[in-house]
Amino acid sequence: MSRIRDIKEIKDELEAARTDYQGKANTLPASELRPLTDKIKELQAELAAWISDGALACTVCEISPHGMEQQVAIKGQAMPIYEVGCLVCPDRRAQGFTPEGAVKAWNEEKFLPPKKEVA
Amino acid sequence: MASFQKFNQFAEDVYEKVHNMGADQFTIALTNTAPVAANSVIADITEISYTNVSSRNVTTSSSVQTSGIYKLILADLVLTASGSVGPFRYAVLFNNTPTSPLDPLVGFYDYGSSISLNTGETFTVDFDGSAGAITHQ
Repeated sequence: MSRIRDIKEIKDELEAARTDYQGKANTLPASELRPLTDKIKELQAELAAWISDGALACTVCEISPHGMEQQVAIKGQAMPIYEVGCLVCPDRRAQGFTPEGAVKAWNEEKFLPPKKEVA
Repeated sequence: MASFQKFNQFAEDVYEKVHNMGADQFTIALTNTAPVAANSVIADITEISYTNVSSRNVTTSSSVQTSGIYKLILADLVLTASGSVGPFRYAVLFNNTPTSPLDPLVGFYDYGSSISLNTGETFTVDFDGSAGAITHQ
């Protein structure tokens, strides 16, 4: 999939769709909420595809990976970081400070170390 | 990484139209009082003061099934203190959208000991990224 529009445009539209939904979620009948939910999910999928653009299919399950924006704390501030990972296979996640960096790490199979549970 | 423990009521709510996982606003509550599995709504939780903490709203990246396995994908949440915060030991995930029941609970993380933050310090709630905060098959 090629990037048709800017990531900011997608994120702004997603935020507007979420705000629209939140304002109506407890008043509209389910039949009228469905299109609002579908719009949010459509934009979530577009954003995920934008971030993972260029990522190869998972070499284990052959499914296209998921792209997402994450947050990390750097010097006391929340900063964006990008992640490309498999929704099926465990412990196959790669990150980068740009979407391209995350895709490169994913394609080179430079995955994050598996997490250890502490509690 | 702290383990995620779900509230019992969530298992029923998810099948009875209480949650619209892909669109509802999920939020983190902080508490220093151990939640119990029988808790069901945010009013059951003794929350700390949030005067000095940044937004606790969680960003949903995806709510989707792949090959029959459902996953709720949430972006990690970085909480930043602008003054004294806590102490707290538990981060509770709840759905901030429904009004009936009001703010139903999903699950919580136990960090093992009480945590306090001072100005400029951060605390990250790690939802496991693309591995999924909630998985159902």
